Amino acid sequence: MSGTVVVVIGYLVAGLVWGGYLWWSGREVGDR
Amino acid sequence: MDSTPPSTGHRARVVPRLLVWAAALTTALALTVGLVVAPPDAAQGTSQRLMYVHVPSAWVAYLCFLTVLVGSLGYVRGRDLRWDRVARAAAELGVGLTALAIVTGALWGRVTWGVWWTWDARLVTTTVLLVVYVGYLGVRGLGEDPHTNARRAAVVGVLGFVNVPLVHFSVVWWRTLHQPPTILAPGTDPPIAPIMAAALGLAMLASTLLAGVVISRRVVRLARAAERTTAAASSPPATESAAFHVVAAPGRTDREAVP
Repeated sequence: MSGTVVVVIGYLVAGLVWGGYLWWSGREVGDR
Repeated sequence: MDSTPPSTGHRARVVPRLLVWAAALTTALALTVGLVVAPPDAAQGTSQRLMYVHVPSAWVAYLCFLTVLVGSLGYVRGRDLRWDRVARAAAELGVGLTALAIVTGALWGRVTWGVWWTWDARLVTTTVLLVVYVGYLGVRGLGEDPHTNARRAAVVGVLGFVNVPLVHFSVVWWRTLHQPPTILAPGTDPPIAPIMAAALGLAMLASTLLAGVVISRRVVRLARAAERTTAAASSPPATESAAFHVVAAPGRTDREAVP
Protein backbone atom coordinates (compact mmCIF):
# COMPACT_ATOMS: atom_id res chain seq x y z
CA MET A 1 0.00 0.00 0.00
CA SER A 2 1.57 3.28 -1.07
CA GLY A 3 1.91 6.44 0.96
CA THR A 4 -0.48 8.30 -1.31
CA VAL A 5 -3.20 5.67 -0.84
CA VAL A 6 -2.99 5.75 2.96
CA VAL A 7 -3.01 9.57 2.93
CA VAL A 8 -6.14 9.59 0.76
CA ILE A 9 -7.85 7.00 3.00
CA GLY A 10 -6.78 8.80 6.18
CA TYR A 11 -8.05 12.20 5.05
CA LEU A 12 -11.31 10.67 3.79
CA VAL A 13 -11.87 8.98 7.15
CA ALA A 14 -11.06 12.22 8.95
CA GLY A 15 -13.51 14.08 6.72
CA LEU A 16 -16.22 11.57 7.46
CA VAL A 17 -15.59 11.73 11.21
CA TRP A 18 -15.57 15.53 11.41
CA GLY A 19 -18.41 15.89 8.90
CA GLY A 20 -20.43 13.35 10.82
CA TYR A 21 -19.91 15.14 14.11
CA LEU A 22 -20.80 18.53 12.58
CA TRP A 23 -24.04 17.07 11.18
CA TRP A 24 -24.85 15.10 14.31
CA SER A 25 -24.19 17.98 16.71
CA GLY A 26 -26.78 20.05 14.84
CA ARG A 27 -29.59 17.52 15.27
CA GLU A 28 -32.29 17.98 17.88
CA VAL A 29 -32.11 14.98 20.17
CA GLY A 30 -33.79 13.38 23.12
CA ASP A 31 -32.14 13.73 26.49
CA ARG A 32 -31.44 11.06 29.05
CA MET B 1 -12.87 26.49 39.90
CA ASP B 2 -15.76 28.80 39.12
CA SER B 3 -18.91 27.10 40.34
CA THR B 4 -21.08 28.84 37.74
CA PRO B 5 -22.11 26.29 35.13
CA PRO B 6 -21.87 27.10 31.44
CA SER B 7 -24.87 29.19 30.43
CA THR B 8 -27.49 27.69 28.17
CA GLY B 9 -29.36 30.98 27.81
CA HIS B 10 -30.33 32.61 24.54
CA ARG B 11 -26.88 34.07 23.90
CA ALA B 12 -25.16 30.75 24.48
CA ARG B 13 -27.59 28.99 22.17
CA VAL B 14 -26.29 30.79 19.16
CA VAL B 15 -22.86 29.48 18.29
CA PRO B 16 -20.84 32.58 17.44
CA ARG B 17 -20.53 32.92 13.70
CA LEU B 18 -16.99 34.05 14.27
CA LEU B 19 -16.03 30.64 15.66
CA VAL B 20 -17.64 28.82 12.74
CA TRP B 21 -15.94 31.03 10.17
CA ALA B 22 -12.60 30.79 11.96
CA ALA B 23 -12.88 26.99 12.03
CA ALA B 24 -13.81 26.84 8.32
CA LEU B 25 -11.04 29.16 7.18
CA THR B 26 -8.40 27.54 9.38
CA THR B 27 -9.42 24.09 8.17
CA ALA B 28 -9.12 25.19 4.52
CA LEU B 29 -5.72 26.74 5.22
CA ALA B 30 -4.51 23.69 7.15
CA LEU B 31 -5.52 21.36 4.31
CA THR B 32 -3.77 23.56 1.74
CA VAL B 33 -0.54 23.84 3.70
CA GLY B 34 -0.55 20.19 4.79
CA LEU B 35 -1.38 18.63 1.43
CA VAL B 36 0.08 21.13 -1.06
CA VAL B 37 2.58 23.57 0.42
CA ALA B 38 4.53 21.38 2.85
CA PRO B 39 6.91 18.98 1.13
CA PRO B 40 6.82 15.21 1.69
CA ASP B 41 9.11 13.98 4.43
CA ALA B 42 12.59 13.03 3.24
CA ALA B 43 12.50 9.65 5.00
CA GLN B 44 8.81 8.78 5.29
CA GLY B 45 7.59 10.21 2.01
CA THR B 46 4.05 11.48 1.59
CA SER B 47 2.61 9.19 4.28
CA GLN B 48 3.97 11.69 6.82
CA ARG B 49 1.07 13.97 5.84
CA LEU B 50 -1.13 11.67 7.92
CA MET B 51 0.53 13.29 10.95
CA TYR B 52 -1.45 16.46 10.18
CA VAL B 53 -4.57 14.43 11.01
CA HIS B 54 -3.19 11.95 13.54
CA VAL B 55 -1.53 14.38 15.95
CA PRO B 56 -4.38 16.95 16.05
CA SER B 57 -6.90 14.13 16.61
CA ALA B 58 -4.96 12.95 19.66
CA TRP B 59 -4.46 16.54 20.86
CA VAL B 60 -8.15 17.45 20.66
CA ALA B 61 -9.08 14.12 22.26
CA TYR B 62 -6.87 15.09 25.21
CA LEU B 63 -8.66 18.45 25.38
CA CYS B 64 -12.03 16.73 25.22
CA PHE B 65 -11.17 14.43 28.11
CA LEU B 66 -9.85 17.41 30.10
CA THR B 67 -13.24 19.03 29.46
CA VAL B 68 -14.93 15.85 30.70
CA LEU B 69 -12.86 16.10 33.88
CA VAL B 70 -13.82 19.75 34.42
CA GLY B 71 -17.49 19.07 33.63
CA SER B 72 -17.54 16.08 35.95
CA LEU B 73 -16.00 18.03 38.82
CA GLY B 74 -18.42 20.89 38.13
CA TYR B 75 -21.38 18.53 38.33
CA VAL B 76 -20.14 16.87 41.52
CA ARG B 77 -19.68 20.27 43.12
CA GLY B 78 -23.04 21.81 42.28
CA ARG B 79 -25.24 18.92 41.04
CA ASP B 80 -26.06 21.08 38.01
CA LEU B 81 -26.82 19.11 34.85
CA ARG B 82 -25.43 21.87 32.66
CA TRP B 83 -21.93 20.78 33.66
CA ASP B 84 -22.88 17.20 32.90
CA ARG B 85 -24.04 18.11 29.40
CA VAL B 86 -20.69 19.77 28.66
CA ALA B 87 -18.88 16.66 29.88
CA ARG B 88 -21.12 14.40 27.81
CA ALA B 89 -20.65 16.40 24.60
CA ALA B 90 -16.90 16.48 25.06
CA ALA B 91 -16.72 12.74 25.74
CA GLU B 92 -18.73 11.95 22.62
CA LEU B 93 -16.28 13.89 20.45
CA GLY B 94 -13.22 12.63 22.33
CA VAL B 95 -14.17 9.02 21.68
CA GLY B 96 -14.46 9.61 17.93
CA LEU B 97 -11.18 11.48 17.75
CA THR B 98 -9.34 8.85 19.75
CA ALA B 99 -10.60 6.25 17.29
CA LEU B 100 -9.53 8.51 14.41
CA ALA B 101 -6.04 8.81 15.92
CA ILE B 102 -5.80 5.02 16.17
CA VAL B 103 -7.00 4.50 12.58
CA THR B 104 -4.69 7.11 11.05
CA GLY B 105 -1.83 5.77 13.17
CA ALA B 106 -2.50 2.27 11.85
CA LEU B 107 -2.49 3.54 8.25
CA TRP B 108 0.79 5.34 8.83
CA GLY B 109 2.25 2.35 10.68
CA ARG B 110 1.40 0.00 7.82
CA VAL B 111 3.57 2.04 5.45
CA THR B 112 6.33 3.07 7.86
CA TRP B 113 6.59 0.15 10.31
CA GLY B 114 5.19 -2.53 8.02
CA VAL B 115 2.40 -3.46 10.46
CA TRP B 116 -1.09 -2.16 11.20
CA TRP B 117 -0.75 -2.81 14.92
CA THR B 118 1.90 -3.75 17.45
CA TRP B 119 1.73 -4.22 21.20
CA ASP B 120 3.42 -0.90 21.85
CA ALA B 121 2.85 1.06 25.07
CA ARG B 122 1.42 4.11 23.26
CA LEU B 123 -0.94 2.04 21.12
CA VAL B 124 -2.13 -0.07 24.04
CA THR B 125 -2.66 2.84 26.45
CA THR B 126 -4.51 4.78 23.74
CA THR B 127 -6.80 1.81 23.14
CA VAL B 128 -7.43 1.53 26.89
CA LEU B 129 -8.25 5.26 26.89
CA LEU B 130 -10.80 4.68 24.13
CA VAL B 131 -12.40 1.78 26.01
CA VAL B 132 -12.61 3.82 29.24
CA TYR B 133 -14.47 6.69 27.57
CA VAL B 134 -16.73 4.37 25.60
CA GLY B 135 -17.52 3.00 29.06
CA TYR B 136 -18.13 6.56 30.28
CA LEU B 137 -20.77 6.99 27.58
CA GLY B 138 -22.20 3.55 28.32
CA VAL B 139 -22.59 4.30 32.02
CA ARG B 140 -24.80 7.23 31.10
CA GLY B 141 -27.42 4.88 29.70
CA LEU B 142 -27.72 2.56 32.69
CA GLY B 143 -30.47 4.45 34.50
CA GLU B 144 -33.46 6.66 33.82
CA ASP B 145 -32.73 9.41 36.33
CA PRO B 146 -30.45 12.03 34.72
CA HIS B 147 -28.85 12.88 38.06
CA THR B 148 -28.04 9.24 38.76
CA ASN B 149 -26.53 8.90 35.31
CA ALA B 150 -24.59 12.14 35.71
CA ARG B 151 -23.23 11.10 39.10
CA ARG B 152 -22.08 7.70 37.84
CA ALA B 153 -20.57 9.26 34.72
CA ALA B 154 -18.76 11.91 36.77
CA VAL B 155 -16.97 9.19 38.74
CA VAL B 156 -15.76 7.60 35.50
CA GLY B 157 -14.98 11.03 34.04
CA VAL B 158 -12.72 11.94 36.95
CA LEU B 159 -11.00 8.58 37.37
CA GLY B 160 -10.71 8.02 33.63
CA PHE B 161 -8.63 11.13 33.14
CA VAL B 162 -5.72 9.35 34.84
CA ASN B 163 -5.28 7.60 31.50
CA VAL B 164 -4.49 10.82 29.61
CA PRO B 165 -1.04 11.53 31.12
CA LEU B 166 -0.41 7.79 30.99
CA VAL B 167 -0.96 7.86 27.22
CA HIS B 168 1.06 11.03 26.67
CA PHE B 169 4.09 10.00 28.70
CA SER B 170 4.02 6.33 27.72
CA VAL B 171 6.60 7.05 25.00
CA VAL B 172 8.88 8.63 27.62
CA TRP B 173 8.37 6.19 30.47
CA TRP B 174 8.67 3.00 28.44
CA ARG B 175 10.79 1.83 25.53
CA THR B 176 8.36 2.01 22.63
CA LEU B 177 8.29 1.67 18.88
CA HIS B 178 6.17 4.82 18.74
CA GLN B 179 8.43 7.85 18.53
CA PRO B 180 8.67 10.28 21.48
CA PRO B 181 6.89 13.65 21.42
CA THR B 182 7.94 15.95 18.57
CA ILE B 183 6.38 19.31 19.42
CA LEU B 184 6.17 18.82 23.17
CA ALA B 185 9.57 17.18 23.47
CA PRO B 186 10.88 18.26 26.89
CA GLY B 187 13.95 20.49 26.85
CA THR B 188 14.70 20.43 23.12
CA ASP B 189 13.85 22.40 20.03
CA PRO B 190 11.17 20.64 17.99
CA PRO B 191 13.01 18.45 15.45
CA ILE B 192 10.72 19.46 12.61
CA ALA B 193 11.08 21.75 9.57
CA PRO B 194 9.35 25.15 9.99
CA ILE B 195 6.89 24.60 7.13
CA MET B 196 5.91 21.20 8.57
CA ALA B 197 5.58 22.76 12.01
CA ALA B 198 3.31 25.40 10.45
CA ALA B 199 1.18 22.72 8.78
CA LEU B 200 0.91 20.81 12.04
CA GLY B 201 0.14 23.94 14.04
CA LEU B 202 -2.59 24.99 11.62
CA ALA B 203 -4.11 21.51 11.70
CA MET B 204 -4.13 21.52 15.51
CA LEU B 205 -5.72 24.98 15.58
CA ALA B 206 -8.34 23.97 13.00
CA SER B 207 -9.21 20.80 14.94
CA THR B 208 -9.47 22.73 18.19
CA LEU B 209 -11.82 25.30 16.62
CA LEU B 210 -13.91 22.56 14.99
CA ALA B 211 -14.18 20.86 18.37
CA GLY B 212 -15.43 24.13 19.86
CA VAL B 213 -18.12 24.30 17.20
CA VAL B 214 -19.19 20.67 17.61
CA ILE B 215 -19.27 20.68 21.41
CA SER B 216 -21.10 24.00 21.72
CA ARG B 217 -23.73 22.93 19.15
CA ARG B 218 -24.20 19.62 20.93
CA VAL B 219 -24.51 21.24 24.36
CA VAL B 220 -27.20 23.59 23.05
CA ARG B 221 -29.18 20.65 21.60
CA LEU B 222 -28.85 18.64 24.82
CA ALA B 223 -30.05 21.65 26.82
CA ARG B 224 -33.08 22.06 24.54
CA ALA B 225 -33.92 18.38 24.92
CA ALA B 226 -33.70 18.67 28.70
CA GLU B 227 -36.01 21.69 28.63
CA ARG B 228 -38.54 19.76 26.54
CA THR B 229 -38.41 16.85 28.97
CA THR B 230 -38.91 19.18 31.93
CA ALA B 231 -41.80 20.97 30.20
CA ALA B 232 -43.48 17.66 29.38
CA ALA B 233 -43.10 16.50 32.98
CA SER B 234 -44.56 19.75 34.31
CA SER B 235 -47.63 19.86 32.03
CA PRO B 236 -50.95 18.58 33.48
CA PRO B 237 -52.48 15.33 32.23
CA ALA B 238 -54.64 15.67 29.13
CA THR B 239 -57.87 14.22 30.60
CA GLU B 240 -59.38 13.59 34.01
CA SER B 241 -59.96 10.00 33.09
CA ALA B 242 -56.25 9.23 33.03
CA ALA B 243 -55.45 6.39 35.39
CA PHE B 244 -52.23 7.99 36.51
CA HIS B 245 -51.08 11.55 37.05
CA VAL B 246 -47.55 12.55 36.20
CA VAL B 247 -45.84 14.79 38.69
CA ALA B 248 -42.40 16.27 38.70
CA ALA B 249 -40.23 17.55 41.49
CA PRO B 250 -39.06 21.16 41.03
CA GLY B 251 -35.81 21.31 39.14
CA ARG B 252 -35.80 17.64 38.31
CA THR B 253 -36.45 16.08 34.95
CA ASP B 254 -37.31 12.63 36.21
CA ARG B 255 -40.97 11.69 36.48
CA GLU B 256 -42.91 9.67 38.98
CA ALA B 257 -46.27 8.06 38.32
CA VAL B 258 -48.70 8.15 41.21
CA PRO B 259 -52.22 6.73 41.35
